[in-house]
Amino acid sequence: NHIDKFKLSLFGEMGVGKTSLITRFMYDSFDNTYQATIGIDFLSKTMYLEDRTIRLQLWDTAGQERFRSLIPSYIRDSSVAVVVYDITNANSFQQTSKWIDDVRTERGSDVIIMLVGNKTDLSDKRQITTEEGERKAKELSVMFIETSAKAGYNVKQLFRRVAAALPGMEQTEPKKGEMTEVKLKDTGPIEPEHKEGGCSC
Amino acid sequence: DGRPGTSESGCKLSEFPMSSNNPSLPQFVETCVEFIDNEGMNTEGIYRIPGNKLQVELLQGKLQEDPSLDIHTLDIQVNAVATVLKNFFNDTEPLIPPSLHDELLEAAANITEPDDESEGMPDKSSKLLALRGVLKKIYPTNYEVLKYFITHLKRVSQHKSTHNMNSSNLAICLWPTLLRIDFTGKTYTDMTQMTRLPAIIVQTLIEQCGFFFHGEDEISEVV
Repeated sequence: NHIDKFKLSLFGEMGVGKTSLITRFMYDSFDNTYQATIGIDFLSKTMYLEDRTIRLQLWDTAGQERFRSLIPSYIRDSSVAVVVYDITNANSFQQTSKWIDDVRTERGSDVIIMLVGNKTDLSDKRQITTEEGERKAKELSVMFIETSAKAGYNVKQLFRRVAAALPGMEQTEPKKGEMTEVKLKDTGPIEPEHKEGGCSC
Repeated sequence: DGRPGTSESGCKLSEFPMSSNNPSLPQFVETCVEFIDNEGMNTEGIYRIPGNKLQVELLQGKLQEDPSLDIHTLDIQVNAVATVLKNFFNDTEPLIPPSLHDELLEAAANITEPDDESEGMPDKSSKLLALRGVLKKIYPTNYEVLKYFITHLKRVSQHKSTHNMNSSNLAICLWPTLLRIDFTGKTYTDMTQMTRLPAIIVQTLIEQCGFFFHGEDEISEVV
């Protein structure tokens, strides 16, 4: 009954909705209180995928500039980096290049990166089109999705797509009690291997 | 380049051109604060949402040339002005000297302990007094600038219903600027333990600004 564990870290400027995405995914709720995140926190969630069960450890970071120097130690054992911007704030979109650079510098291609345009519920204030988001994701060879943590739009899909891109069970057995080390050959999504009789539903 | 001399930890505050209203207050700081006081009170997430990078760079350059510049003459959003001010404090010598960090953290740890009612134990007031005692050790220029900036943050927090930045949010977004704790070689695990108290210190300074900086009584219940 081995469950693979994966660490997922969220990055992005302050106020783009990193904590709200986690809250929507974990508790299917949205907290209307405007509350900045202090330091770093993590939560775990078990995901039941078609062919296996995984445990995702979600690391939420405060967006403060001064914490940027901590990214290397923070990303070192992460399998996934979710880089978030606010579609109503062009500056937060421009800054995603820097976050993605920081992650790539530390991990090269050994990490899955998902670019997320959040706050689609605020469509009348939109500054970044879906096409602009897609284009940047393609240029930087990362995955892309638009979400609304407030409306609950595409949040589950975001984490499902990331989970589907995680390395499958054919990987070498991880050492007990340690995070799975991820070696990806490319950054594209990996099709989950279908196992005969693997699904009990 | 005409900028004040730098030390290991950034330019000394006392070497900047000073305001004509306050000989201990760099004009750069006054110009930014006055603009934010006038324009920032309806801006959601003031001091949280960073300003546009190009505007930040433009304003930084202009203010270095002329710190008394009227920011209204440029097309600059108030978030960018807040970011410029944060950058200023990040680049100059620390407002609160690192040599006082331990004493401040200790005083803050006492404040978060529930009051022990038994005789001889310090109550809330004397704990705040202890914290005020540590603040008094900050050298005069830095103390004046800190007083001016915290008093501004207190005004900002009073408009929380329009911009959502209460004293707690302001403290979370600004403690890394005010208390420049060195994270070199620290891991995120260390950090989870190192972030709570500094935020409490800054939040307490904002909420009890009158007590710490203006000789007023403490506010016993913060609403």
